[in-house]
Amino acid sequence: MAKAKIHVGLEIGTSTTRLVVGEVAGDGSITILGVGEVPSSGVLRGEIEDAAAVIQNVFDAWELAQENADVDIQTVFLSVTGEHIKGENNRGTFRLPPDENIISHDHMEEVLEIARDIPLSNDQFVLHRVPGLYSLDDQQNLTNPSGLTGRTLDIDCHIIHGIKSRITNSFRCVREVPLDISDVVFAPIAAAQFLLNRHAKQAGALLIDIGGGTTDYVLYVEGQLVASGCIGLGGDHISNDIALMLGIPWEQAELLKKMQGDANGHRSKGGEVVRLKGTGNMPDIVVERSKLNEIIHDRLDEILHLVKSRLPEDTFRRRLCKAVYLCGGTSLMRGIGDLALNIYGVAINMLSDVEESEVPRYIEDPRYCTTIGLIRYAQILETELPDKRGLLGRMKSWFSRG
Amino acid sequence: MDQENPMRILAIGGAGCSIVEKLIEEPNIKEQAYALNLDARLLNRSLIDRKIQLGARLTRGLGSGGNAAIGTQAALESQDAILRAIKGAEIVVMISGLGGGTGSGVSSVVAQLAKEQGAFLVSVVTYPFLFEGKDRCFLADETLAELRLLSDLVLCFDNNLMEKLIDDDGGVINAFDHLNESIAKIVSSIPSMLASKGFLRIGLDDLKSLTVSGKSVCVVGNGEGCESARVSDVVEGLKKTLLLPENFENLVEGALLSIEIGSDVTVSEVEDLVNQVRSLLGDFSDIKIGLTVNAASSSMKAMCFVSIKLLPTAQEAPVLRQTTPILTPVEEVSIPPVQTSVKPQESIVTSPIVTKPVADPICLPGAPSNEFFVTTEPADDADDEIEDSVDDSFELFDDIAPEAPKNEVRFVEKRVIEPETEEVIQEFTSSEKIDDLHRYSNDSENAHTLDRGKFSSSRRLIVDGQDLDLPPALRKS
Repeated sequence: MAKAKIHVGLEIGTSTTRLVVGEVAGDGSITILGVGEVPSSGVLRGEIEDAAAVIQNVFDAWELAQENADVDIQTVFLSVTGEHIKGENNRGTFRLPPDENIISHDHMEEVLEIARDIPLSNDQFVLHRVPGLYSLDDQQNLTNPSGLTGRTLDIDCHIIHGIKSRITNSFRCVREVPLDISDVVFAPIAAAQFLLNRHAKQAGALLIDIGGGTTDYVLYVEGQLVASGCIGLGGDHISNDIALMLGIPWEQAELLKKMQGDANGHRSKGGEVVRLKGTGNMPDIVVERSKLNEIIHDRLDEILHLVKSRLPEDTFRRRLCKAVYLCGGTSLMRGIGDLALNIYGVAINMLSDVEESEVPRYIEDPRYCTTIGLIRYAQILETELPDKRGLLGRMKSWFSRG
Repeated sequence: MDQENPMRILAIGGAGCSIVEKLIEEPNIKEQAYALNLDARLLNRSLIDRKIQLGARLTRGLGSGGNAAIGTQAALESQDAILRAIKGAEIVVMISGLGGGTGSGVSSVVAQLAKEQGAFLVSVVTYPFLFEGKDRCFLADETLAELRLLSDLVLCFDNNLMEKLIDDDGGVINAFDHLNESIAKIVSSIPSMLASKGFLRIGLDDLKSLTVSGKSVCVVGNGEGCESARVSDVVEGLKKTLLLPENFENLVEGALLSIEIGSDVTVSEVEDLVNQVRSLLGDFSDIKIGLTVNAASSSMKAMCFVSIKLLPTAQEAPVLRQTTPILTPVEEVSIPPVQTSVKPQESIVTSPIVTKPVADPICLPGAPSNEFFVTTEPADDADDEIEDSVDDSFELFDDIAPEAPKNEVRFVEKRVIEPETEEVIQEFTSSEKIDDLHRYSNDSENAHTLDRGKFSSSRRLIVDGQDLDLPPALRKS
């Protein structure tokens, strides 16, 4: 049995910077050893605007996590997001030479190579290349066509890329702390590792991570990653809307949203009033509940529709996607499940509905999905790639874990 | 422009090329002009010597078919060639017609590349005719919004407004020719204006300061006159060529008047001219003036740049024709006949949030006692130490413009809260009056001045011509 390993996930979110330390046991179960989280500053829409502030935040979170988990942390898995990150599908086609008709491993690699190669400008950085399933002539969804007879071999590859300089910004901030980065993962891909199991992906699942500044999504159809991306709208926009529409300070709008908001605009009774005590010399804020809910409803409705419009056409009409999974801080908003149900018309899974695992407490909190997913991602990566380090390297890692 | 201050003129797409072809006879222009197009056939016919074919592999010499995505991809494919063309240039003038696949798709890529090279970027664009269709206008709006952020100066020529320049009897070819010529004339006089050594000099910094908010585009006009009626001739010319939209008076953000005078022009004539231009711009007071003397002639030439604030909404296409305010009050407040002793004045914050790049905070009339300020530092005030270590991969456009001074204005947001007493709030318990408590008072406000709250200093997020940072309800109305 493999030994227990410790992995650390770091998410520099728009509202919170969060570091989660998890121990992956030999049987694959994850135990959260400790968490360090601080409110973020210098991040707007998931992208870094003020490096100094971000470095300070990561440093604070790092200190906190080390203290809570009682381990030394030197390397992390980093999740990135931002509107510049886009997912694209590229289909590779390989026609077998006339004298051959049996698919070999070389052919499979060749076609994968073609699919992976997508023309991108120099300023783009490829985060993930996720190969899908092969199809051979008209035969779809083959995991391993090797040894079969056919003429044309195809494969779809989903490529996620973003602007290099912005991704490098996150790298630099983390390295300044100083922390090493084992790998960088697009945030919803990480969350999907945690929230979606193989059956969910096979059945067709859409994961929407609505955070403070961005809404990230990934869509799996028949086990393949077919769409992913990020929209620069999130919970902050709801607060901003409330602040602008009611003419109140942002902080109070945030409080109103969290304490009283309900995304289901029609649920409130007419005439009901919400009252929030003013700070300092400010007067109390009195708002009609239906109005507050309507503002929230409008924004979330827009976000969810935007996600829907970015997906391949007919995803929901053809029942390719059987369930929607909501996570991220904004998914804690009351009534968002009903709203999503109206828009997507499929089962909506919020985190409390998601299968239990041995992780205590944090796994029930949708805000931790991405970071816990990073640990799961690290674990998957490790089982796929055998430890190539020599004895010395491994000894080093014993010491580094303290 | 001399050797130390090289300039490049990039003609993008069919429209861009035909404008630059009018310019080609001017001295020095020929060596600086490049034609960029996807369509090999058009490119070959162009009079411009230096040609860059974009996306040769992608479209194999065909055009973009009106698809901006193809234009963008082609430009990305050929970005090395574009970079070679603009390398070392201090000023890049990019000329394109918006709305087409090449014009819209390529312009944004070129603008980005030029900015990365640290050039002063002037985008000269034409806005499509309304009859060209809504899609083209949408596309044009989107590109325009992008260019405004990337460029140091955007000169926008709205074809719809240029109708007044066209002779009705002339054919279509003549009309387009005429439009292109007038654009070419203005563009060609910019470098000479910048190069001249007048005693009231105008430099790149002055041009840049015209559009400091990143929310406006420039319109430009010129006029010329000699002998006795020269002042009125110049004003006539300006009036004709300055393509101001309807109801522009409140939207003027800055104006710059460059005057070239002969040796015998008197001070009172100059004064007269400036005053007339001022009244032409709806009594806009803050006109920057440049004055150069050309001793050889007795004529008077003037060029006027006016920057006009815009909001990128494709709904209101074309942009320059926004005549009605986009926003109406969210809730129409009808004050019921007095039932209570409460005065019908709003009790909680109802004042618009004023964001203006001014040094002194602006006080609303009758500003009461409860007020607070939110001061936002310009983004480039970041900690120097950190900037040193992380600068090269940081966002590209913060600190490149070579000559322009650092943005010294501080954005002062001011919110004013009406004086409030405890009784007032107690009175308002029934739901009917809640509306009086809360409304977004923007009755007289245009969308242009609308605050985006927390996101006011950030890059705009525009999808389908809508600014997504604004609350959906405000956009719908």
